[in-house]
Amino acid sequence: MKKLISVLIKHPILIVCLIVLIVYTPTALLMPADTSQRAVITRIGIDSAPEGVEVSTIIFVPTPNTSYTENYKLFSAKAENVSLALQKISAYSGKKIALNLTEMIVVNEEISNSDLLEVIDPLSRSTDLGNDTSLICTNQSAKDFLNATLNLNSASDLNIENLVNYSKDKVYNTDSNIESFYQGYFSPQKISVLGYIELTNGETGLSTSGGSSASGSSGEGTSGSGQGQSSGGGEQQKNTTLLNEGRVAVYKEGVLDRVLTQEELKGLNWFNPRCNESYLKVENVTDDIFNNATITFKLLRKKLNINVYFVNGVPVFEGTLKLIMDVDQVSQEDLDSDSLQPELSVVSPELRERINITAKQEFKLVQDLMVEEKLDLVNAYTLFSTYCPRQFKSFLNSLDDSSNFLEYVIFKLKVIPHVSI
Amino acid sequence: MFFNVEKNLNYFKSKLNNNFDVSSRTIMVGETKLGLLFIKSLIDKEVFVNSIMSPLLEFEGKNLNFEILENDVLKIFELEKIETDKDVITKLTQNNLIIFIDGEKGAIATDMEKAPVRTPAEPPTSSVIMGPREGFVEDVKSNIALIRMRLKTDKLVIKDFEVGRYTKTKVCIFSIDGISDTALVKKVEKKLESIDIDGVVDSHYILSFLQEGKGLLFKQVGTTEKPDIVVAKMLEGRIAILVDGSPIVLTLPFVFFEDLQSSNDYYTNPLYVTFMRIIRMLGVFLAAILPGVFLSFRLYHYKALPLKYLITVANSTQGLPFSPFVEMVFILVLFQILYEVSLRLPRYLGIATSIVGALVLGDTGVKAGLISSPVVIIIAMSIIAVYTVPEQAPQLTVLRVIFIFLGGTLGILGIVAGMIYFVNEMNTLNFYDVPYLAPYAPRISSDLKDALFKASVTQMEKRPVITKTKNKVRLKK
Amino acid sequence: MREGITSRQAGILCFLMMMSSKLLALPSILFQETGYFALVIIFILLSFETLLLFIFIKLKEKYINLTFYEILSKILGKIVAKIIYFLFSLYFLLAIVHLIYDNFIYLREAIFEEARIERFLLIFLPVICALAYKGLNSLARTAEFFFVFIVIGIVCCLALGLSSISEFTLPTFENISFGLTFNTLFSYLFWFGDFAFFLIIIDKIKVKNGFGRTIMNYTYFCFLFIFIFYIIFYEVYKNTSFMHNNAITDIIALTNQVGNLEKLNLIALLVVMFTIFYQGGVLLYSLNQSITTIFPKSIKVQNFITFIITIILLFLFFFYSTQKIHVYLEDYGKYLALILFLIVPIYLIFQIIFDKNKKKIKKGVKNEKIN
Repeated sequence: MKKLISVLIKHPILIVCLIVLIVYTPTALLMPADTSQRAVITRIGIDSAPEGVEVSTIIFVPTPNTSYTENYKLFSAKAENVSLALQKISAYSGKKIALNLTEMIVVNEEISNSDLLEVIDPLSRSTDLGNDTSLICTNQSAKDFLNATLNLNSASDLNIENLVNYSKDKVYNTDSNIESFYQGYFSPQKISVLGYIELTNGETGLSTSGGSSASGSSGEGTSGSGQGQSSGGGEQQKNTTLLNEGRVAVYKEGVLDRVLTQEELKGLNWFNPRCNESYLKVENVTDDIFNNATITFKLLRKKLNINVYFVNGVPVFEGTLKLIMDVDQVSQEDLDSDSLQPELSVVSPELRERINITAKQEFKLVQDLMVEEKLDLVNAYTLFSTYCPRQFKSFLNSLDDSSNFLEYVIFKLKVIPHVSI
Repeated sequence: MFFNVEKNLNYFKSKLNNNFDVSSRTIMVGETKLGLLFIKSLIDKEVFVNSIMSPLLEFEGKNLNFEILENDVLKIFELEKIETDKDVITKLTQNNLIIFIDGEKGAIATDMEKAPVRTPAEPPTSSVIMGPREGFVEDVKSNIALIRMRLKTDKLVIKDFEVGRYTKTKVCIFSIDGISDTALVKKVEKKLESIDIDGVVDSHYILSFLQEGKGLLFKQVGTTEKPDIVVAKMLEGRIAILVDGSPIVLTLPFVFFEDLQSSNDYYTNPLYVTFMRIIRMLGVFLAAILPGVFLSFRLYHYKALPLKYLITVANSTQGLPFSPFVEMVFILVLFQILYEVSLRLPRYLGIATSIVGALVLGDTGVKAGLISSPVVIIIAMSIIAVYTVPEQAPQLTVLRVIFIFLGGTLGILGIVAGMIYFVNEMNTLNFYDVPYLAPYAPRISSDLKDALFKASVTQMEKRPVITKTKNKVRLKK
Repeated sequence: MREGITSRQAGILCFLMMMSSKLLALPSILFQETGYFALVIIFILLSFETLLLFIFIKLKEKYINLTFYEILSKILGKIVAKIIYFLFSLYFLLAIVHLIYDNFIYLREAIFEEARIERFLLIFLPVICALAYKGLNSLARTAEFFFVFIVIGIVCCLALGLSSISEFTLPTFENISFGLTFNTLFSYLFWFGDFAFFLIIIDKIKVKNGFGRTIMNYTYFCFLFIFIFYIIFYEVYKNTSFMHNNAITDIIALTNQVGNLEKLNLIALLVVMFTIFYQGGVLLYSLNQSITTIFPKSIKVQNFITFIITIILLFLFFFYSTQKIHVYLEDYGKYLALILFLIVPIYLIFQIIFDKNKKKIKKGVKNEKIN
């Protein structure tokens, strides 16, 4: 005993090892894996309910299998707020909620009409859930949305997360996540933009029934009684599709203001340096090569340069857009060899003129919307405040209603197209 | 010792317990009586007949004495006149023939060694694709010859010692005058002289005495089985210690990064060697830390795992009877048992063991739901990774167990803490006044050319600083 | 073996200490107070810290082999020197508790969901004790060994953060006043006294030509890293920067996922985990040296036991307090920092400039042998 004590005094780290051995090792030996004690939530849907909110979650259920299998179950609960609803779900599933692998949060239009900031507050406060989690809006209930996406699991490349990730860069002009929502809210104009995906019964879009290589729902089980467990599609699976038509939901001060149409978003994207892979249809093109043709260009690369300045006290918002395009389709009455194989190394002045007109026409649609609804969707306020602060301040002071400043801003758009060789 | 031959023979036979293999022969050479004493199993009979018996029997003189015997009669290259009883016993046991002359005090000892000696062959843990394939053997004289063949210099200094009361094992210190640190040589000499043990069977016995700390986990003395490596190390300023009966040669001083260097490194492209050393370093980390990290993620840090990985692991481990910690320990013990069995099993049973190991443990166990495939893969990877640096295998095996324990009880922070603690411990080690993690801690720029990264021979102009050599220049331009 | 570290090792320790706690909560705290002007604040404070180190190096060059206590005794007398050492001990103690506090909160949120205090302390305290107890040599070598990996980790975090920036916007400084600036600078002075340890180990740095330059190079390196970090952080999060208390992890949270690389925050976690042990070790070592200077007859083992108990008690006090430790440091710690990092260095500057007994390093000083 004395020898042991002297050894321990000589090497104090052994005392620590002894403490760890006695205190922590027995529990560690018998401790089950962390994953078996957690309900790993991959998607969350929030709807409004008479009680307050209805939160639906898709929870991953491990199944003994040596091959890769994803098995999910849908749980939902109604409560006063999201935090209480998640606690109920924890009780229903019998496990602690794990939010750190949540990839998507879906809200519907109805709940977006109330202050969305209040709704997602517990989710943004959670240290588990990252602010890069996708946040999208849908037309029908979020629960139906999640139910429909139960079969779209992460093993397959055709899943909802990939859809949103693709759209962030190529379709929307926003990251459509919690962070972008807050950044918009805390911007001077308090405007946030989220992606919008419709749930329809049509045939176009991403079909959600069958065809998945890995199992989606558990197969057995009926829809849960009351709030609680329901397996996805416990009744006969409906033929629903997710329609990502390029629409975005615009929120002002955390409340849904409107959902932009496809055309409006297209017009808005003229002032968006992202959204590279899109199309431009130019009509009535007549030049040396074409004769009253309708040409569809595929936009490959965009370089947008925005300049804000004042001319005689009038704010000018000027965008110079260099486009690299490719001719995708030509519709013309009499197709000849020139129009079939156009050698467009340099865009003709007529074609350039037509492109500029088309761009301005498309943008005009959204410009009118911005003025009418007082929605600064191009961050004009921020840019003017940054680059011409004093002039902008005096300009705002000169207005009766400073929230209406867009009415007096002159928008200029110059498109310099190039066709890629 | 007596003047009478018969008395001498009987006396020394009784000293050696009248063992059956201690033989003697009495012959008359002229008018002189000679007594020959030898150990049958140790002497070369051919040499005995040709070099001793034939010349003696052909001698035509009347009287014989030691001087005539030495100078004119015996056709043998190694002769020694001995005067004491102790020397007679020592020489007899060291494969010598003892010749007594009636009427003369003293004896002559001649080396007649013909002990069974293995032919130098490539050592199993130091295979090379291109390069010398000779390895040391158990016989110290052969080993000395292998070094002498490569170091043809008069500056080679060999000091020999006899260690072990019963084994009287020959231990030799090799150094190069002008290159090796004389203080180090003296220190090692002093240590060897102070050893008072009954027997030394292998160089690891000597290694234990050369260590400067008790019971430490970390290796303190370099080991190698290849003469070209020994010579290269000696040319860097190190000293080598050869022990009779062992093919493992010890080198000093030793630093941790030496074990990342293999013999193949010096005979291949330096860029490739750099890449392989980095792989070995990675192997060291994988061997020691990987199972612990995996266990900590499973028990405490599911947050750190991506979704698809989590799904794979969760599905594979669902429904197992063991907890993750117990499962990990169980599989580790099974693999270690397999490893021990593979060392001891006869070769013709090795195939059966492989089948048992691979199929039963790996496949059937997973299918039966007793163990999970991710854990089997992790442990297997860790065990294989140990043999990127086989010289550190014992240390890595112990560290693996420690890190599994740390990861299972304290999580990833415990593993990081353990890593820092152990590296700090290594940094407190200064065996023979050389920092253990040199040349990286402390950073010695000139020595970095042959640590983790390898420069070509033409760029290594100076000897390593850690060997404290005074003669720093090895390549003159 | 006499303790002595090379200038490279000293530079690495300065690098690691300078990073202490600046990459966690401080960016969001500063942004909340001053908005984008936090960039100017951090620049000023980092410059101030670098200047402090420069003064300390000049002090070393002047009094090559003297300890800081001997220098102070020479200038101010033994009693004042002991008082200053006592204040330094207090600073180191608070700095250790601050370090534990910040990093416990961070690790609990990031990876240790159900971490308990005793488990964290059981891991952290023994290791920093071992680091400090075994001496400066081994501590510096261990830091040197892992330094490359830490730098690679930080560079990865910065690179990933850079890729998260969707568009660069010029920061706007609104509602800035001299009073606000001065108040902020003063309030956060405590966070920027990381080089106090340098005075304690001043006699243990091996002198050779250019040692000061080597140490300053590492410091500039760290300065650049931290400043770029802050710029990237504010560019990534812009007006929501105040919401993100774990800057080093959050900076890579919005990385454009190339090839679905997930959970990259492990890089940031590992950087923090490795760094906190060295920071704790250096602070504890400095604390021990200070106390030993004040009480020369104290026994090392007893000192360490006392330190551990005191740290635990202080930590529990701050942890269960109604206010965060940051508030205490802002309210009270700044006065301690004022004395130690403003008044004392200013006096030292005068001493360096006006002391007649000037000693300069002779040219051609040979490098000391590796020990």
